[in-house]
Amino acid sequence: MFGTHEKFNLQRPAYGREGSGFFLYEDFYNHLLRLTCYKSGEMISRSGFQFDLKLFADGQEQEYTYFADEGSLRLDCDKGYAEIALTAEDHLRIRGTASLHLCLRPAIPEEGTSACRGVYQMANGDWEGAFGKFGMLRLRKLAGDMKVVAPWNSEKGMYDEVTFVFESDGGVYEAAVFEDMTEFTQLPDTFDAFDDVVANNKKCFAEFKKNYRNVPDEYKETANYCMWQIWSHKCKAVGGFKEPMIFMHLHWMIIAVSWQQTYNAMATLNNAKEAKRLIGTMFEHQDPDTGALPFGVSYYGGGKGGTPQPPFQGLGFAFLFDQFGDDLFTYDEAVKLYPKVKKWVEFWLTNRSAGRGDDVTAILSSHESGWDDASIFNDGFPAANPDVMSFIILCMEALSKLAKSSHQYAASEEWASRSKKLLDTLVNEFWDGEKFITRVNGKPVESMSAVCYEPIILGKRLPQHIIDTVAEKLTDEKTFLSPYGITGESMMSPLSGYGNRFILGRCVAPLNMLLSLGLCLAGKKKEAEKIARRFCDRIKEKGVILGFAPYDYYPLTGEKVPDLVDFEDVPVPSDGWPWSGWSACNTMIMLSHVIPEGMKEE
Amino acid sequence: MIKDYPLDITRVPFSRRTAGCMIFCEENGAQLDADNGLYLSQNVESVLMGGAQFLRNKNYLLITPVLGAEPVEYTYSATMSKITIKADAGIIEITFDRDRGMRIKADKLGIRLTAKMGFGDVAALNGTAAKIEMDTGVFNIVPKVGTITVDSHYDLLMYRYSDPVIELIPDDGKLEVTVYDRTYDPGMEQTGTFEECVAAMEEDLNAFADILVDVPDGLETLIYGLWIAEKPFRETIDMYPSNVVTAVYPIAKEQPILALPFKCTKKAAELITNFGEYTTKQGLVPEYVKRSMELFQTVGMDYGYAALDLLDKGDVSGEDAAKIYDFLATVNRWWTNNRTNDGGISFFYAYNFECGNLKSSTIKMGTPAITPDLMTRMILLAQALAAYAEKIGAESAAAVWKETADARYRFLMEKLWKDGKFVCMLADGTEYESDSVMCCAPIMLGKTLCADAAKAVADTVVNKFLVPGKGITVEAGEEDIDTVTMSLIISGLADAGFAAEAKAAADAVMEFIAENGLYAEYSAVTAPEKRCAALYQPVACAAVLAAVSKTL
Repeated sequence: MFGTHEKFNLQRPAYGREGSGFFLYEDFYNHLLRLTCYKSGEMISRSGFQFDLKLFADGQEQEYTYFADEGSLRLDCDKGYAEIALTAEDHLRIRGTASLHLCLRPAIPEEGTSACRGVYQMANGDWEGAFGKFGMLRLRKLAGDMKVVAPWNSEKGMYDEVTFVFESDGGVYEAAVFEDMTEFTQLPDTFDAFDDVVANNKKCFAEFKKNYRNVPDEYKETANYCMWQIWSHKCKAVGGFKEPMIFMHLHWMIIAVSWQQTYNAMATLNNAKEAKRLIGTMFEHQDPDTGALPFGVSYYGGGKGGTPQPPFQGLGFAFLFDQFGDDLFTYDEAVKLYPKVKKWVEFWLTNRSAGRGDDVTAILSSHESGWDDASIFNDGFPAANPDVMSFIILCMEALSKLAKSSHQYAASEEWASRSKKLLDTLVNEFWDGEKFITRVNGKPVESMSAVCYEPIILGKRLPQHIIDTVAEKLTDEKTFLSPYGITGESMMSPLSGYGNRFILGRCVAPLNMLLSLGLCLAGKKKEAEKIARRFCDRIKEKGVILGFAPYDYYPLTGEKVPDLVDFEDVPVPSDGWPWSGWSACNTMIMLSHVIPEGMKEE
Repeated sequence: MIKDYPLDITRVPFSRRTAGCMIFCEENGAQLDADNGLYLSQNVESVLMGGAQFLRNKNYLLITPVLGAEPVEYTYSATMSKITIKADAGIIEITFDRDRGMRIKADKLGIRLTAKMGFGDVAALNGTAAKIEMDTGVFNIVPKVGTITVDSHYDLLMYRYSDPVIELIPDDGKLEVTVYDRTYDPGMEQTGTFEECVAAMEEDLNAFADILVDVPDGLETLIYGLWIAEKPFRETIDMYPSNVVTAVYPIAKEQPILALPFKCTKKAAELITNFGEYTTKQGLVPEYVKRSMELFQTVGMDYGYAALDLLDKGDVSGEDAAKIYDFLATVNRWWTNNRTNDGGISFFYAYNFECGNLKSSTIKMGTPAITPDLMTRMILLAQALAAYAEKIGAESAAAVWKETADARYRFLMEKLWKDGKFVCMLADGTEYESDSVMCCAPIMLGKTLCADAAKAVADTVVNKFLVPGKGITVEAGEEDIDTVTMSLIISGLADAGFAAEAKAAADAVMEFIAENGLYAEYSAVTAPEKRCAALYQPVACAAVLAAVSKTL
């Protein structure tokens, strides 16, 4: 899957495993593999808790190549090898013949080894390391030799180096490295054979892939990478996570972001139970007073306050009802879920009301739409934006269905009526004949953003003339449809930028999914397929990255993009560099639904 | 009675018990890349999403008095209940009400607030009020008389709101505004006139002073520093952060120290046991607790000393005694299971940081290390357990704990008392000397410590560590002073009957405070930097109040 000589190395994807706290990646500059743990939430550009992996033989450092798949990651040099298998039981396993050195090296050199507060050898020979906010490590030798090199510098108040050494005493060495953020309980006395750990990892991934529908043959490898990306970014219920959730990144945004759990639910089209579970995860962290869902959940839980993400669950519910039927939720499930969704919707209708006396909302920050730099926010806030209103329409519809499933028929009727009414308002007041418009204090905002067409997610609820216009606009290759999919801002917009931007110009996975899925739901399946294929073909070539610049020049002016190289070709602590769980699930929706639906039209 | 007591807000912020908002004066703005002046801030923990790429100045709003649109020259004065800002053209007064709102009243002047925004921050009008969200601080600015405007727009390319300019504009020369923190409820009604709020603040401060130990005049700012530090934490328990401006979260080892100056046994008991809620199943007390995380590593703590001191003060209720007993037993269990090789007689620090000072010479030979301060803590812990067991009627348990305390004391005297001084020992038995004042920590055993050792320690403190006019250094011959450590030594001297020595040390500290203010750490040689948040940390206030009280 990944390796020195493979299509993709581990510079952009992080090597993880479902349920593992540890992950590894390749350092962009020195090409050493690096080991760390996600739980502190510290980005790799800042974290002091990172270990270089070095191989030694006969006292000499060796150059190595590596290969990794879902089973294990293996380093090879001329004089031997080392292999690492991650597990879901808070430890990783090591074996090898060439000596493996794990050398603590922080992201910021000036910090030295300060991340390591201390190392201590216990009576049974295990070593324990205390790493402050990064937690604790426990190292256990299973075969061969193990030692810790950590000379204390009393002047600096830290170690001169911290190196964990695993080496052979003639045969194959083996070891286990445990991590915990709280305290170690009894460590296991016996361990599975290393090969069994590897086999178990492969089996786990194979089982996981069954959650997803088949994809066209030409995308099977791409889908495998996407599913691996999601699987490796799936945490277990540990720390603040009440349920397994899926991270956006392991390198940078080490958070299970709110709306992304619903995106992931929408991709899980072969397992309705798992899809429902995923969409419900954020409600476990709901503020009981306000009804707000937090921006995301980290190892330390979902915080209160702060900027909420949009009520994207509306689309998730609508899509899942469409795929699995209106009786998707049992009576008991609906009874449990209905009040939570209701409280979430009421948060929006109360705290983000546009003050008109109806259900039109107005947000206070771009992050509440999910589109941090969309040009629909050029005139500031409060902004009554149709994309969020579309989610509210679908949320109300979902509430109607959940109410019905929980035998609250009057409430069901009322929510259905409110949903319809808001839809009518959206069509009558927020469509200008060409696009949907955002209003600030009643005035329309001039914008050439693709977000103006996001209400297409309402599918056939929209009048046909709107569907036809949206399809026409989004497939215009002068404005929005680039070789790599839909650009977030029209290519003819002076605001369009491809460097350090989110959607103000680039083609990004979630927007391409939303717009292509919307067209698909609206009956424009060939147009949808065309868009989806363009984006997915780029993913196939470049990896499961969040977004791409459509060109290295701006079509409006012909000017070369000045900062593109800086942004795309070197690690930048942002959305753009690493493989992303968010990109993976969106690509899977396009691969397993949008494209096959389009192919059926042939 | 504390009345109209002057407050230096370049050293300690103007705030109120339980209120999130505060005002301080910054005179070293260049270090922060900020202007000098008066700042409105909040006692909230910064949550930097993902790391330093989103760094910004914390939630500080610069306060600029204006006349019309123009800033005016002004002077200000502050007492513990009011700030007064005077310009030729008018006046602004600021106090707090009982509902944690910061009340602002102005005559003829307006107020401009400016700030530096970061990712996720918002500055927007919310009806006739304004809501400013900066990091985790939320300012709800609600005019009662006058109006408010917010000039800030979302900058697409910077992913954030532009730095706001917020204008509080008087109406016919009058301005009345309340600034609330996150807990604001639009339905809440204001209680009390401005003058009534000023009086209520003083009343509350004096009521707080009444539950503290008696201290001489000159320490009013310490009482104030402790009073404003009582803040909501995780929205449920009132706990004391380590620093109301910067380290806005509670640290475990500070809690027993914070308990020491309270005459009110209930309050002291709460402080001694408040970390029980965060203790792990195995009894590990986390080093600190933040809004959403705990650091599950630990350091040596003075729970035993604080618990025994509490018993001396007065009537501890049965309920509190049981709670304290449970907590102390939990602490003892963890150390016995994890930091002893002889079943709980002697104890070692496994890691350097567990001693609380990475530069301490008590760990100069590395770890695991058995040190006099750790042994003292564990003796006191066992003594406290014996005393509280007796208090709750567990006579046989009390006897066992007493025997444990005696066994630990015997180890201290047989193994660590050598040639007239206390030494340290590695886990393998290697002895070594240390110039740390922590080798004088056994004085905290009070009358338990045998007379010869106590006299030797008292002489050592005075001759090797006490710097006249400054305090007690951490290492002999060096300049660093740690206020809490020093205060515990002073308290120990007093407990052990060395009143003159204790008084001499206390006088040195009082002299330093009178000249410089109170610092948690400072140098006996170099003048300390004066910056708000560098002074009057709650634990330092508590430690000195308790120590000085013992020398009266």
